[in-house]
Amino acid sequence: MSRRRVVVTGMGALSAAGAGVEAFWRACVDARAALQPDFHDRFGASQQSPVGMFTGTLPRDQEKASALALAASAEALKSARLEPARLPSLGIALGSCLGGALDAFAWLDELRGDDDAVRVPFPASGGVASPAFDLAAEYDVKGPVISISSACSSSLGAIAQAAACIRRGEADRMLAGGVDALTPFVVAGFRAMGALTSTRVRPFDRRRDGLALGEGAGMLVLEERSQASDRGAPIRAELLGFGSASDAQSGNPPAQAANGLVRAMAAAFKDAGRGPESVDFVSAQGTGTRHGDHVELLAIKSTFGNESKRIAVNSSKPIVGHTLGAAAALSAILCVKVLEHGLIPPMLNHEEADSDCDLDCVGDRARQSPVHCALVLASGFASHNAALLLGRP
Amino acid sequence: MNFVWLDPAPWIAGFGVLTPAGYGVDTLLSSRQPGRPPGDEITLEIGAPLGDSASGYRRVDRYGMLGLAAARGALSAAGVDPPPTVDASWGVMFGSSLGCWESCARFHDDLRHRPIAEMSPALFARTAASAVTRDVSLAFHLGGPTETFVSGWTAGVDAVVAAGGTLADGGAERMLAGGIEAPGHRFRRLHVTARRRAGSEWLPGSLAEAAACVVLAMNEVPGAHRLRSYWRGHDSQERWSLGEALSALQPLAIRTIIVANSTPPGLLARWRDESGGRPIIDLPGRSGELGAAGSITAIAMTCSLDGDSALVVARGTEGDIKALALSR
Repeated sequence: MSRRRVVVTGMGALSAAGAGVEAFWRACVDARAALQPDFHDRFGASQQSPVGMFTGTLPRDQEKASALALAASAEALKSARLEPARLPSLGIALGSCLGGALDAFAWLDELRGDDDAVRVPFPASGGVASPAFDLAAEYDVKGPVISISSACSSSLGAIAQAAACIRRGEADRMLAGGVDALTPFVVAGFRAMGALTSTRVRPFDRRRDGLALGEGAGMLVLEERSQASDRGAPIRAELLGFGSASDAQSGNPPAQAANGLVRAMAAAFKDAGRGPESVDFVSAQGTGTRHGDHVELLAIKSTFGNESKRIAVNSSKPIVGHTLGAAAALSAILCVKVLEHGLIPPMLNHEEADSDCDLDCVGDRARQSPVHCALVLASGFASHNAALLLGRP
Repeated sequence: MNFVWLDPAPWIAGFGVLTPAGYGVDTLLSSRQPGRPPGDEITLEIGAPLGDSASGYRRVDRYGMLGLAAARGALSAAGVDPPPTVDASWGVMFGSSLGCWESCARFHDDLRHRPIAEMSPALFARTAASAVTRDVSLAFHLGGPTETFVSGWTAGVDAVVAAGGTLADGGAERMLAGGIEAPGHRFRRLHVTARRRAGSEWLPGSLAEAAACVVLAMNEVPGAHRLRSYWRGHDSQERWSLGEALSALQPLAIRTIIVANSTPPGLLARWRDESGGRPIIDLPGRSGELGAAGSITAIAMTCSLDGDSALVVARGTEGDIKALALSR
């Protein structure tokens, strides 16, 4: 029996570039950074590092991560031409690093060491899964509700789990993606790790010195292909394959550290039943850290060999920052737009390639080029690596 | 009711379970009386009966130590050695409702009391819920598919479903799938206090420390149970029907039902009415609430029972409900 095929019929995005997929896409195509140093002090990490905050309007009565996910989901459903009131078989798969943990931290803060002050029970699910359950409540979901937290690859895992639900007949339609809101907790953590840039985000550039954090949400509507066709849904792209792999080793030199991502890509190609030669475009993790970019570069070169010079590579991190749990979903959305328009955004701030970087990092301005198959890469510092293949419908 | 059938169905080659009652499920089956949860902390010396901590790997908090202990126990029970070098045919997936709450709380406290220059990057790395999955993959060289689920109390079901599906699809040959809760002393005390003050009349027991893990394998394990089928959905109005589930699973001739997580008495009573006389084991009534480890513990309990088949029902946050069917 042939495998059920999974297609993307709707997308929604909120990021520092603004509300909506078009705002995100235009910022990427125009290479317009949406990072804002002015907001830096809000997070108590006094250094010259930009952050990518979403500054649009959100409901005040919702925890921020939930509000971001709800807004992106509303856009995704609308673009898929779906009425939220008529979604009996919808399921949810959402990835996030911290989810609604702000509520959990607020609960802790309220105590201030005084146990007698405790009146309200700890937020359900420790807050991490609360955006997924808020989505389930909003749309009266009857299908599976899955919440994933695997560091920076969280939303790619969520998209993969959603696709698996559709392939196995568990659901016909899934809302999948990722979300994370900026918190002092996260900014302090990355600051303590020495991972933040003091200048600009420069993926694969010789002068790169770190990442900038961002916040946002990226949501996709995934559907079984024939049912999407039958209802006349806009089929934007097909989800071809997915793979994940652990590093399973620590403290290795970059050449060995790249093996986890290499295995994830190999698994994605096996799942898709096609090889690296089919890929025209890679949306890289490309956070701009010295070690991370180097490892990713080695993984790409190991997988694609000489072909790596042919394949266009981009990272949206210089535009909207590293949005953690939302990052890979935003990359997937970028890939769908690239597949649709045959237009590859430039890699902002990639001015002087690292000595061993011979990738085709599209510079200066967007390039018109037909793209049939795109690859999304994500790696989390918890040793999770993930790869997703998307193709033209 | 649309259960998904895994074909081929993975074998459950072994399991490791740690609960406040002790190591294994026999303690839960025989030594504890229903209605008398054994407490909420694991008092075992985790390193002693299950082997030393993973060599060469440091900075593991209690969340990671519990996960490592359960994984080591599962591997030992399965009689298989973990791969000596990184092996892509072995994967690992874990579920947890709270994640590494203790490390999160410590880092959050540091944020209030220390300058950033004095904050620990190692501690920050431990705040990721996926830290336990990483710990296990590093300790046992599991280089294949990986994921970490945080879908509340049913997160363990998601880990098993994803691991089983990965095997059935040919994505790996063996998978470790686990559930873990390490809420920390302070959290448990405050949470229970808050629930009482909020007027909750139904207190089945505080969320206990627990860790459970199974080895799923595609190679035949004679006499072992197999993960046959599953169902996941959201049921905010509590209409999920055990009777319909049993009908859908008729080919398996389900003999026993294990309720893995705390369930309101009224709902439990209805399920008893729908069970067709089959015994229902209320796991939280014996163990206290095990969170995401509850469903994995229930799988282990199924493998320990004489009966051929069982249905594990896990009920989670705000109407979340998931079920797993197993048979020999």
